[in-house]
Amino acid sequence: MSETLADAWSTLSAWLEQPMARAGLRAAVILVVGLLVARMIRRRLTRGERAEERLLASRIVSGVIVGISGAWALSELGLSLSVLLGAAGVLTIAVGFAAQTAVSNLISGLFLIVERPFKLEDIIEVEAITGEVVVIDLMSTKLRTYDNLLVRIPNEVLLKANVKNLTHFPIRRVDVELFIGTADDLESFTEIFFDVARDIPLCLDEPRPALLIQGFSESGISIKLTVWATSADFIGVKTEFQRRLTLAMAAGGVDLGVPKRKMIAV
Amino acid sequence: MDPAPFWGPVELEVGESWTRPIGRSELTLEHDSCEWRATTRSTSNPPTSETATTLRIATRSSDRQLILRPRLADRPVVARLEVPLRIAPGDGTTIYVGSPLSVSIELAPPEGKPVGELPLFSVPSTWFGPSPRRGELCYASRTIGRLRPEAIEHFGDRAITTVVVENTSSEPLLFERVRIPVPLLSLYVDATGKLWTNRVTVTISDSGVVHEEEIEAGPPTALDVGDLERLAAPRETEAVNLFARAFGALL
Repeated sequence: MSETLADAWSTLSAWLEQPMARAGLRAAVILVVGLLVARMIRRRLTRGERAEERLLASRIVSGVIVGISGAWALSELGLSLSVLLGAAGVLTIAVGFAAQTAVSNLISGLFLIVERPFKLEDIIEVEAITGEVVVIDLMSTKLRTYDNLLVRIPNEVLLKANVKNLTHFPIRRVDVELFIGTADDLESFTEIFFDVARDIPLCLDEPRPALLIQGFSESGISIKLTVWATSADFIGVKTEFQRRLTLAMAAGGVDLGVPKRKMIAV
Repeated sequence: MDPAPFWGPVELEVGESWTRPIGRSELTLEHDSCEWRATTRSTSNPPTSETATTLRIATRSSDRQLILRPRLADRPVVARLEVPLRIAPGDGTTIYVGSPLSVSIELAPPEGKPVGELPLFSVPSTWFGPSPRRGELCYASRTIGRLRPEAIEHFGDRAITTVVVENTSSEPLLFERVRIPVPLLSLYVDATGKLWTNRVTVTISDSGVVHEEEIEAGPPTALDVGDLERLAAPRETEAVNLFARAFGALL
């Protein structure tokens, strides 16, 4: 047994005396230490406040550390760094031409993280897609739509498009536009509207509900109604407001305006 | 005025129920096997499902006791005067404003911890701040703005805050509404069962800006209501009055 161990040790010692083996061992140690340091820093960075920044910082830092460790490990193996960097430069140009979209998305992702038009869990609307932001990555942003679908939007699109953030501010205005047939209906309707707005518990008392007369048309008097709700209650308030308004108008005998044409026979 | 305080222990055997009017609401407790059910219902309007709020509490204990405690609201209250007051430069006034209450429900010892809270009546929310972008969500309250304590109509479902307003500006003040930092206030009861909070003093400087908002430590003084007993501590203890000073221009 002791002879076997002694043989193994002498074999290992002989192997370690070879310069290539020692360099390989050093390279392996450097790489392992680099990976461990990158992992440790990434974990420490994920304790920050903003999720998007944490993601970006951890990726950049761990990428740099792994890159340096890898290059150092390769140099220990006898590969010249200048050759590697030269090859990387050529490779970067080739990849840059081949992957312009990817690079554009990457840079757009950096801009989005710095500009911060939205954050995780915000509800945004982009090109007729509405959903909750679930992932902000360097290349794309992923939304969960109301019908529970995952939509991936390239960051380049987000940077170019008009993005509506529906939950950025704590309160939102609910707008309803309709037509009222006659002046008599308008009087009754005004009373109904303010009663309905007051009776919905989730409608905010202030900013005050408002009734705006927008103009006149063949359908009657064009009205815009506005009430306010918290962003979280917006959909519930909009639905409840329209439901109660419809019922109250029916009960109060107020008709919506319909298009009218006077036919004159000549 | 309700005949007796609604708070304290309530004992019910399994299968029994208990109903108690509280101001413009009523509270019902039902004790089923392994379950308590508490419901508050507005009695000021025709009762519908929309005016009732129910809390179900599941427990392994067969204890027949539940403890009720009154609590002040969890958000500030913005009280708007039905008719605004004018206050001359250098003058001041004292108004009495009601804040809504909720009932906190605790299981009997040894658990003895609050398991839920029910508002005694539904209070609309309102936004208080200089713009829809900056401000905070509060409860909205309408008030006649009584200027004499003996004129206050007490309901069991609200607590009265004494608000002292001092106009230190050089212009007459149109006093339309006031934000009461209810989560920072304690709840007190007097010998007749009326509920009070700490007194709040609001000092208005030039341009209608709240220069200072001060909460009097201890029970409200100068009320001539005898000794007051503290029923509940403030929900929040940290000083967040900077907000009121920053947004006080809306007063």
